[in-house]
Amino acid sequence: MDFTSFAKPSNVDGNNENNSTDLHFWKHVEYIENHGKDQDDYEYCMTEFLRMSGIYWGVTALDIMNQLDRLDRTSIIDFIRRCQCPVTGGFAPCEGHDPHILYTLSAIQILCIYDALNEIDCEAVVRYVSGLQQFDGSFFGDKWGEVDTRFSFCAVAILTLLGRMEGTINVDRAIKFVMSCCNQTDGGFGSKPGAESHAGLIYCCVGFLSLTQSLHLLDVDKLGWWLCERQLTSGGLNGRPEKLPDVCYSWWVLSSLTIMGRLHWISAEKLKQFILTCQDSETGGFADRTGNMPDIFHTLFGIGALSILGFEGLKAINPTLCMPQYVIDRLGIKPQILSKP
Amino acid sequence: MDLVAENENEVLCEKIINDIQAVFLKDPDLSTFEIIPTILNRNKTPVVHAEHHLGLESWCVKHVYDHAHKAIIGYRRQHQSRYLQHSDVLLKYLNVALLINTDVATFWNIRRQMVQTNHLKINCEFKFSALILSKKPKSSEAFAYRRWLYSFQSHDAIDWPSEFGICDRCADRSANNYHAWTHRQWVLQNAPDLIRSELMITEKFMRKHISDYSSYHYRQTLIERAYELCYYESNELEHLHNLKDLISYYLEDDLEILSTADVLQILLPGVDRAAVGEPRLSSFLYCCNLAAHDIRLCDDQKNMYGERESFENHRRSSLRFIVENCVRLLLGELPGLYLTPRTYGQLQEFNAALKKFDYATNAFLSALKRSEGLLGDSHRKWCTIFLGFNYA
Repeated sequence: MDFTSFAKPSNVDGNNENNSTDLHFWKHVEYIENHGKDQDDYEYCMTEFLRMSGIYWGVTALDIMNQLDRLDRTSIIDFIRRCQCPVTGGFAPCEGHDPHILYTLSAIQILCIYDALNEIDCEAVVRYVSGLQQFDGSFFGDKWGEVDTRFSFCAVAILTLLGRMEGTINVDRAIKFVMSCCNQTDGGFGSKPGAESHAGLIYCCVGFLSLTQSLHLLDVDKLGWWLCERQLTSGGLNGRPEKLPDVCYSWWVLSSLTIMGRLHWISAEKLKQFILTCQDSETGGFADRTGNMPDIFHTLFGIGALSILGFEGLKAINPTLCMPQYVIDRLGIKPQILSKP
Repeated sequence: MDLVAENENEVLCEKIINDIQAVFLKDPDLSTFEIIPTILNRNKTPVVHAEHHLGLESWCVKHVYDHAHKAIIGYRRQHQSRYLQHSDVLLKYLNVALLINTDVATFWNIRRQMVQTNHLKINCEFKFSALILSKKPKSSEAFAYRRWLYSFQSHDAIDWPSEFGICDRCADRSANNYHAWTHRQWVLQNAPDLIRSELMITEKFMRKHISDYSSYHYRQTLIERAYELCYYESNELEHLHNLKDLISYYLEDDLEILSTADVLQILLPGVDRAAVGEPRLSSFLYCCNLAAHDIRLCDDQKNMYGERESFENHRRSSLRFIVENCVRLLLGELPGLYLTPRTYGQLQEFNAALKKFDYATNAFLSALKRSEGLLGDSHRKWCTIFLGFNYA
C-alpha cells in the first residue's frame, strides 16, 4: 500500500520549526511501532502495571493511521489470552498481575479491533463484569471494592462490545448511580457522588449515557458551558478549572462535545495548532504539553482528537468508544449521539 | 550485561533492599521518603536515614526497582496461591517497589491479602500508606488502600481529625489534588461533627492557595452538606453580617435590617415559617450567610489578585446556593430536618421549575437578578443557563 500521499517530508530542510501545522505522520508510526521493543527499558518496566492499556493505545492509534499491520497480531492476541484470569474471567494488565475492569476493557477493545473475540472466553468476561455491580448500581473496579464512574463506563463499554448489555446488569440502577455523580453547580461529573467535575470523568459519564441510550438526562447547556471553558488562550484544553492544558483532554473534551452534538462550540483550528505543537519532531509521539517527553497515552489521544477534528489522512474514530469507526460498524453497535441543534 | 556483572548487580540490589528494610524495622515512625537526585554511585550505601526521614539515591533506583519487581512476580509465579507464606521476604520487596512505583495495584493487593491473613498489622499499614503519600501526595492507590483499611475498624475508634490532617498535608504539597480532596469528602461523610473546623480550615486554605479550585469545590460541597444536616451556629444567627450586607448591596438601600426575622421576611416573604420549622430556617440563614461570606471573599480576592477562574466559579456557585435555596422554600418545599439526597428526576424537575420561576414576585431576587445582569454578557448568559434568569 502507498501512504506517501499524506507522508509529510520530515525535517530535511531544517526550517520546519515554524511550520507546526505538519503532522509528523511517519515519526509517530515509528514511535508506536518501536514502543516496548527495548524491554530492558526502565520506563517499560515501570509501566508494566498498565501494559494492556498501553497496547490498546498503540493498536488504536496505528489503526487510525491505517498502519495496523505494523504490529504482530498473533503475539498480541496470545498475550491477551495469557492475561485472562482463569478464576474470575477478568483481564490483568500483564502476566503476574491481578485482573481489573480497566484492563478488561482494554483487552476487549484490542480483540474487537482484531476481530478476534472468539479467541477468549467471553462468557467469563460477562460474569466478571456483572459480578462487580453493586446494589446502588455502581461498579467495583476489582474485588477490593473501589468505586469510580470510570468503572461504570468500562462495564457498559465491555458489555456493549460483547453484545451482552441485555439481562446481564441492572442498567437502571447503573444510570441512577452515574447521575448521582452529576454536580448541580456546573453540570459536570466526578469520580463519585460530590467529587469535583473532571473532563476525563465527564467523558466516562457522557460515554456511559451514550451507550445506555440515555443522553436525554444530560443538561447539555450547563455541561457544554463547562466544557467550553476548558479551552485556554493557547488553544489547548485543560481538564478542570485552573489547570494547565494537556493533550489528553483534547480527546476527553472533544469526544464529549461530539457525543453531545456541540463540537462547534470550541475553536477547532486553535486546538489543532496546540495539539500539533505537542508532537516530538525528533522521536515522534505526542507529549501532554509542548516541549515535554512524549508517551504512548498522549499519542493516542492526540491522534484521536485530530481524527475528530477531521484531519486528513486519519481514519474516523468513534467518540464514545475511542476505537476506529469501521470496527464499531462491523460490530453493528450504535452508541447514541445528539444531533447538532 | 555479562553473567558476572549481572550477579554483582543482584547482590548489590539485595543489599540495598535489606538496608531499607533494616531502617523500616529500626524506625517505626518513618515520616517521609524521597529519592535523592545523585548521578554517581559513590561507593557507599545509597540509603539515607535521618530523623525519621528515609532517602534513596537516584542512581540505584532503576536497578533496585527492577530487582524487587522481578522478585515479587517471581514469588507469585513460583509458589502460586501459597506465596503469602513467604510474607516476611515478600514484604521487603513490596516496601521498596511501592516506594519507587506507587501506582502498581497488584502490589497493594498483595498487602491487602497479607492484612487479611494477619501477616501484616493494620496500624503499620496506615503508617506505610502515609509514608507513600509523603512521596506521592496524589497517589490514588494509597488513599484507596486507607479507605479499605478503615473498613476493618470500629467507626468510633477512628481518629478522623488525623485523617483530615493527612488530606491537609497532601493538598498542601500538590495543587488541585483530586484524590486528596475526594478522600477528604469521604472523611467528612464519616465525621460530619467536624463541619465547624472544616469551615475554618477550608477558608484558610483557599486564602493561601488562591487557584486551587479543588479546595473551592470541596468548600461548596461542605456548605451543601452543612445545609443537608441542618447545621447552624446559634451565636452566628444574631449577626448574619455578610448576608445583611449582601441584601443591602442588592437592594441598593441602607436598610435597617435589625433582626433575623427581618432577613427572613426579605428573603422568604410569604413562606409559612412554622411549617418549614425553626431548625431548618436557622440552617438556611446560617448557610446563606456562609455563601454571602464567600461571595465577598471572592470579590475581595479578585480586587487583590486580579481575575481568576477560581474566584469567578466559586462566586457563581455561592450565588447559586442562595438563589436555589430561596426558590425551593418560596415554591413551598418543606425539606424537613434532614435532607435526603435528591434523585436525579427531582433535580431535573427543580431545574425546570427554576427556569419558569417568576423572579419579579420577589423584590430581593429580582434586585439580585438585575444587579448580576450588569456584570457583562458572559455572566448574564451564565445566569440564564444556571439560574433560569430571563433577561429578555
